Amino acid sequence: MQLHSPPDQSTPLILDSLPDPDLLQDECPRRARMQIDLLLLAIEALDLGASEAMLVASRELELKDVIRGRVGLWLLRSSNPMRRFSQRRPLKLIEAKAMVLIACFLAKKLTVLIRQLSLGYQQLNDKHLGLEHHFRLADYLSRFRTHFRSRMNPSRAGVIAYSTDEKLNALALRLLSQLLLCTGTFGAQRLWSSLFDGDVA
Amino acid sequence: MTIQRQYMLPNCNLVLEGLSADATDDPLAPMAMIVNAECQIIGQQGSLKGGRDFLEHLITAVSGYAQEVLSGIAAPERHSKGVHQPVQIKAGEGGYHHLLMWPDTNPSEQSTPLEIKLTTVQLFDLVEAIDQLLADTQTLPDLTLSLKPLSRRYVKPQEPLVQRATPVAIGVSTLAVASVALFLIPTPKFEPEAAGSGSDSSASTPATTAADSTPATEPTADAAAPTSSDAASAASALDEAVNAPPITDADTLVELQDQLSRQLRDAWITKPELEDALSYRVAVSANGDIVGFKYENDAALANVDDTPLPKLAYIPLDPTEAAKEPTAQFRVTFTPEGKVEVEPWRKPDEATSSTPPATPSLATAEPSSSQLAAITTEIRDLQTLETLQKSLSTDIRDKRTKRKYEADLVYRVRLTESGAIAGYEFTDAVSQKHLNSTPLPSLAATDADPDQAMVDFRVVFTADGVLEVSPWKGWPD
Repeated sequence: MQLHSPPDQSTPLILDSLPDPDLLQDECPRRARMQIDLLLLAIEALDLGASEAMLVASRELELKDVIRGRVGLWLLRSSNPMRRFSQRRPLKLIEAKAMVLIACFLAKKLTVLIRQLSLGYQQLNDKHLGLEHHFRLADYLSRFRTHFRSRMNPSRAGVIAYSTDEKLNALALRLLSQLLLCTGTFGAQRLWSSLFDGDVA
Repeated sequence: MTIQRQYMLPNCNLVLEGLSADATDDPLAPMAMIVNAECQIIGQQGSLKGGRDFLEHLITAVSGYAQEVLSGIAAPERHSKGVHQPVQIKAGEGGYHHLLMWPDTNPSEQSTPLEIKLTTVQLFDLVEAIDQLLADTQTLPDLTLSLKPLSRRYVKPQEPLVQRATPVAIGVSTLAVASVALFLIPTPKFEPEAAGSGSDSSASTPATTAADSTPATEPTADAAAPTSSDAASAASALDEAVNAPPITDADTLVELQDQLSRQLRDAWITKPELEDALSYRVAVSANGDIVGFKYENDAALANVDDTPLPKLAYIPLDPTEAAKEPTAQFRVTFTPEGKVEVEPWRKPDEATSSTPPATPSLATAEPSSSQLAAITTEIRDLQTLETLQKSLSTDIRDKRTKRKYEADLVYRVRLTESGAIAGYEFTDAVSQKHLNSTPLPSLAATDADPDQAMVDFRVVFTADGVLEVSPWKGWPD
């Protein structure tokens, strides 16, 4: 008798490089969802073509089955509770892994830019100059602010905490440092492990 | 010959010198042992040097700090005072990170550490160098990346414990206060409606049976048991009431008689099969309550439960005290036909006396204007009744003077077999008022023998002037 069922879809090998954490439930905690979405947001603020690049990366990394196209990616990112149209769906671990890999993949491509901006911020800080003196950094920060305000739900307490420009700038710079750490050899593993800090038994 | 490995990054240089597992001179052999490790940050003075221990501490510190930067949550164990970490990295101001190293293994804090101020990029390069070392299987293959997410124990909740416990504390305290307040509200008291409770138990049971409104939770046997005591207590109450001052006001007496007869008629619902009439002597107080009753004949004693008297009787708590209240005495007869007759009490030997004991206002020379006693022998023959009715009507019509009254006057007239009027009585206040204007007083004979056969007739002088005469108990079938 011939089997007419399609062959099994095995999970891509690349996802195995990220170990499963010991969580109480099988879905991602709140903070993890927020962090992934914000990192991807920072990448979009760094590079204008980042949204397309994400989809290209998902194809290159053979994560098409996990992240099903543009809408699928949007749905996954919208599991962030701070979003305006937050989806009440849980974020599965395999989906989170895929997004982490895509984020690190893109961050590695933007290593030079990230390093430049980090150095630039340090120099501005040392000389006590305003942020507007570094054009590219100011550009990144303003784009980040715009994206954040347009996508996040303003009535949530977590979003109200970032109501001013200064706080959003600080958030953007923090994310920049984190992205820098993601560009390393073990960037994806480090990021993946940091997502569950404080949520495991 | 030592093997050297170098990890060079724009801002950090990590140089390792060591030996291979088997002492060969091949520089490409895997380095199993480390002799010296040196870490230099380009742009900074001083470098970190040390052996294997130093390297391990450096790796632990740097790796942990990198996780802290990524998640924002610090692991407190790294800063614990118990175990002194020789290499520590702490966050500083302005985006700087301070790397501290205590050079000697002596865990005293007094020795000044070597401090290196790192920018974020320099920190990253350091992390990257170490990661490359860990990833390098040719160098110290036993050293690998080991990352573990922080346990929940080490994370402080975002809200302080006090703030989180406040709603719980408020809720519990509110519940406690409310329960205390509700506890203080007294429970409503249940008072069974008692017609009266005697100091002795026998008097209390008739009181409970007298309470019609309360649900009859007592078994009927219980209620039926103290019948004799019922009668006994009622009788004793009556005896005391006999000594009470009598009510002498005629109007009150008439009213009480009316009230009593109405009360008994309404209450006497189930009329049993009686052979003889039941006759009782009933004492009634000024407000109409039956304060005592006593049987007059044997049949009355036997069938006291079939009458409503036990239920309606209000036995006072202390009969001796109640005796001070003025009472009126009535004779109540429950006939076998199901009628209730109430008449003012008169002792049997006074049945034929002309003077009424309780109505001095009617004390005229006229005989037999008093109330009628019970008939001993009753005429029930239809023929005789017809004859008597005719003769009575004729007699009254002949002697009538006044025709019209304000209301109907109803009298009860007793006739002997021969047609003579043995007695008469008024039935209400109106008839009493106009008694003297009727021919009844003049028609009545005085020497009626009480043992004679007699019968009562109902004589009505209507307001229009019509005379109606009919047997009191109705025509026989």
